[in-house]
Amino acid sequence: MKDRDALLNLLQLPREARETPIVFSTIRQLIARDDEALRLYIRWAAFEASLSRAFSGDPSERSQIVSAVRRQRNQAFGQWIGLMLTLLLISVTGFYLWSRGSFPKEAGVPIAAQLDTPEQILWGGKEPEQLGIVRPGTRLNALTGRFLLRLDSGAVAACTAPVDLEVVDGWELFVHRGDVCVQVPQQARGFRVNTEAVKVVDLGTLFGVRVDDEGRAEVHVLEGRVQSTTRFGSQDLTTGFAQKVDNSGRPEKIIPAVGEMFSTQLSSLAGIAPGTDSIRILPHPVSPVRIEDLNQEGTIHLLMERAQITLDTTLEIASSLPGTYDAQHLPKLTKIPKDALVSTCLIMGGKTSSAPLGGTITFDRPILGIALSSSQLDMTDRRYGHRLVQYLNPEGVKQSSLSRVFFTEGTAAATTANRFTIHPDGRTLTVHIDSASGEFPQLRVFIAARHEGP
Amino acid sequence: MEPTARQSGHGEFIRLWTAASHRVHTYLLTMVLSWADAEDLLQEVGVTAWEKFDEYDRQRDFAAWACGIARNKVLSFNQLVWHRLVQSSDLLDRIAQEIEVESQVLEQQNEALFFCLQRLNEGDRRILQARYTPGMSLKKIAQEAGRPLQGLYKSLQRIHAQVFDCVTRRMAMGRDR
Repeated sequence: MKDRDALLNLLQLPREARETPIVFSTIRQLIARDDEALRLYIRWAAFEASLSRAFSGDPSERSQIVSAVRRQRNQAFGQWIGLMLTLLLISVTGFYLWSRGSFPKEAGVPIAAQLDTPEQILWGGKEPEQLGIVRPGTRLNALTGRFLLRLDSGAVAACTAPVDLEVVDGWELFVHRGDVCVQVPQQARGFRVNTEAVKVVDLGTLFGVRVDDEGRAEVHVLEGRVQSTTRFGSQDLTTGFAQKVDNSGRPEKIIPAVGEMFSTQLSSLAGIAPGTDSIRILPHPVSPVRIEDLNQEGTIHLLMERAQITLDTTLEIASSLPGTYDAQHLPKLTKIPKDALVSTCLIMGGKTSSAPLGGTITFDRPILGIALSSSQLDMTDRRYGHRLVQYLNPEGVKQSSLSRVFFTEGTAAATTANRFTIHPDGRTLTVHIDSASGEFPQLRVFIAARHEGP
Repeated sequence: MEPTARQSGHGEFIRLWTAASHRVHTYLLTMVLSWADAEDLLQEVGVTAWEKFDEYDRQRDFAAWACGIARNKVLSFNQLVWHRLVQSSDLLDRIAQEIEVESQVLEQQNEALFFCLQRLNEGDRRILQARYTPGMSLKKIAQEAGRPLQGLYKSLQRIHAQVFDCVTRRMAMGRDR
């Protein structure tokens, strides 16, 4: 019954608010899992089609419609005096209800965000609505777990408990306490994260905000630029810089940004499930660095590269069909279509001769494909690699003697021992690297940007 | 088909298409839920139906035949755009099946709707008309009538709910009789 009500609320949204990917995705989930919801959905679509048919008269009626709507307003004005008295009564009652925290929620108000919870969350306050719909003004207080907020503006906020924040609307968060890391795409530039002490306006792409129990705030810019405003003035912060602000709003000096501080949130943005420990996840670089310098001996590394990025062209790379692949059993090719929303990470190991390395990583979303040949890697470095990392052969121009290829067909056994397995869940990847000196094998993994839901 | 046969076929096609287009539109809107997409697809289906009209078996229900074309259009359409409402052919098939099963209910709903629209007051009727008349939008109406858009949205929401309730009640009464 709840599904049905939720669906009806969504269907009754204004067309502009309804025809959005977030609302469509929620409707899709509802009708896919509940026959009653599916029937209601069909009835509603037929209802709207019939209304359209009933009113698809002569567009020359337009002027009559405008004047009728205007007339309706004028009639309403005539009732204004009477209404004022009623409103006064309603205002007093409303204020009373609001002050008691029991003001009824208005049906059909816009959706500010969708909550993406790849794991169980223990909520400290009121639990969010079913299906992860977050309406403007919703306060989220998580005691354990982590979640993503996909805001209507396009920004994505990764939050890790303990965190207490309010989703003011699709363009603004207010953080009372905790760590929040926000990835802001081009179209959401201007997205705001406010605290009691500081207001942060995004002018770039990726930043983190920490608010401690005393209300002190820190703003760390991991990529791009933000404007940080306190009651003492404004300050632009760029990649690699951070600012601390005390709880009276007084800014302290600018310090280097610390990517590690938001590593859990960044993992969440990149879709890495908690508990992955056999592959070392590298801290987010906040200054330019060569890929060779990130790699250390003795373990396989994972560099989180891009989160929530839209493919600007169709990509043809190795498919993510479950199975074990090596130089003799190469994966088939697949196409990830243009406009798909993905996150990427680079898995690497080797560089110099060492003992065989192995590790497993689980993502909380499906793997879509893997770039593993030199050409696939070179081709995707610029657009889907990390902005501050210089890869082995930038723009395909050979600069390093190291080979980044994962499988080399028909060569020595040492090279062909590299292999990887995609597990049947489609989300877990086991990598085995047994490379020779001078080899620096790499895999760029493309995963879906969205958690598939329960 | 010879030119003259084609010409007389055209007359027949227009008659059949006019009678069936509402059903096809409903079908498309259910599949995509986006008005603009449903309108575009309806035009495409119309063109394809005319192009393939020679293949149409006169023993078959024309609307069902046109819905088959619509289904293929939606499938190829959805394959291109990931964020559309229906993305899997499974769900598409379930919807198509359900429309088939519920066809009588939907017909009753259509009749009930015309009754309920008669009972609307003139102001509410005009707002619905503004929403559904081709080439008009609530935004334009709000600007020209000097009314806040949010206010019109809320009115529209209320009217939709009121009419849908009326339709549901009337259908229930029809079943009880």
